[in-house]
Amino acid sequence: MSERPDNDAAGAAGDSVVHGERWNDDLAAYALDALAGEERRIVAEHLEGCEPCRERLQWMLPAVDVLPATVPQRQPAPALKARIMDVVEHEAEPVAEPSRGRPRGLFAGLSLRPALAGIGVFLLIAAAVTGYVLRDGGEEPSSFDAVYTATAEKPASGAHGKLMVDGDAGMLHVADLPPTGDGQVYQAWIQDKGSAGGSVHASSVFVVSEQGVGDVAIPHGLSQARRVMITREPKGGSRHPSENSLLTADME
Amino acid sequence: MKASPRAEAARLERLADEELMAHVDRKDPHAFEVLYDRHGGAAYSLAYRIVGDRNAAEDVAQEAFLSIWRSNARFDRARGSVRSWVLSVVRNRAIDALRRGGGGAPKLDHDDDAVLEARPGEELTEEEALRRETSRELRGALDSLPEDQSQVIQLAYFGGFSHSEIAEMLSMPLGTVKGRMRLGLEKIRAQIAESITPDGVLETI
Ligand SMILES: [Zn+2]
Repeated sequence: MSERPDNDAAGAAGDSVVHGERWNDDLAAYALDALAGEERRIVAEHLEGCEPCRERLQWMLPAVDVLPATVPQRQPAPALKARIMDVVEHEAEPVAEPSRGRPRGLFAGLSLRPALAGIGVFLLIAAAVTGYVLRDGGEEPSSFDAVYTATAEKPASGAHGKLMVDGDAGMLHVADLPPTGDGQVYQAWIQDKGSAGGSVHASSVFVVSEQGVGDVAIPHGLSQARRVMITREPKGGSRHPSENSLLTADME
Repeated sequence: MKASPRAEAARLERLADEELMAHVDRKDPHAFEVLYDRHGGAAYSLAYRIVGDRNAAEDVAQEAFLSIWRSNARFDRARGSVRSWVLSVVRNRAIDALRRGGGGAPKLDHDDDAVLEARPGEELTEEEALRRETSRELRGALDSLPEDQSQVIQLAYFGGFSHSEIAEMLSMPLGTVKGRMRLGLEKIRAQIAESITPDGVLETI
């Protein structure tokens, strides 16, 4: 197993002491991720061919693994979990509601398949764009149940859009929305029909092109909706809107 | 028929971490939530220790958990427990964030945090109380090291410094830093020997 001249660990006890003296300090620094560039590469390469050093490293690693547990333990804000789970639920395949039919027609291809789910929201947006192009390329506009106009809450902004509804799903095409900064996204919100205003649900997040154009798939929730709204949110989206709607499609 | 959502959640909560990861790999958001509930606190605490700021620590924890969810980080059984793996993902993200931010002075003492941790009258779950108790004990193990060994270990692990950066910072010969790292790790290893399973995985945290 030794390919390098210094791999003499399999030799006599004296040799292994010498070998340990040569490598043990390096292994400790390696375990602590304290080697840079070339040094790191040399140790990694040596480990490939040296069983005793691999065992030694394996023996030492629990002493590194214990370090995170030595720090003062704190409780993260519940909002952190909410933000993470929001993204996760958004990107998950809709296994939780097996009885609900998949979106029909044009939108069938837009539901997140497991293979795609891992790649994240941005691929969903890419799929949405593709879907939109496909529609322009040949599908009949009559495949939509309804098309609504989205207008800016501040008319001076000039943002506008179109919401195309197909059963419970839909597609929102927006234009003239300023690109979000780093660390920000746009997010769609669905407000239900209801006597007291109707509750608001988080929907897809998306970004727009430099020209301010974007397409976002709304996978479900539109059959009971009163309006779809757009806000700017931190990357990953939010559980509750953090500002007033910038762009609203009224469906009543 | 399908189990009710509540029964399904209870079943996931009983799974060992390694089994839970199989569900997370299949993109089960409920399994992921259990994973977060188990390790989110430790992850956030580690991120906070490294970046030293609540918002930055939340960002790091969020990035780390989402990279796990999106399978950008893969669990490797050979490398230890799920918890150790999650925390190593968090540590890498936190060190990246530290470097991106230009890095301030490394945060070496944690007395201010310890005061916060001991805040009386706070309602803790049993699991949370255990986590804090374990942390106090282990911190004792780290604190019992000679200062010069504990210092180089903390600068490397929580500060993200290489041994040569540390040598320069502390005006020490290059080899000395690595030697102290080794002595320190050996002592910690000896103190935690009974918490380690036969296959070398740290068990109690
Ligand atoms: Zn070797």
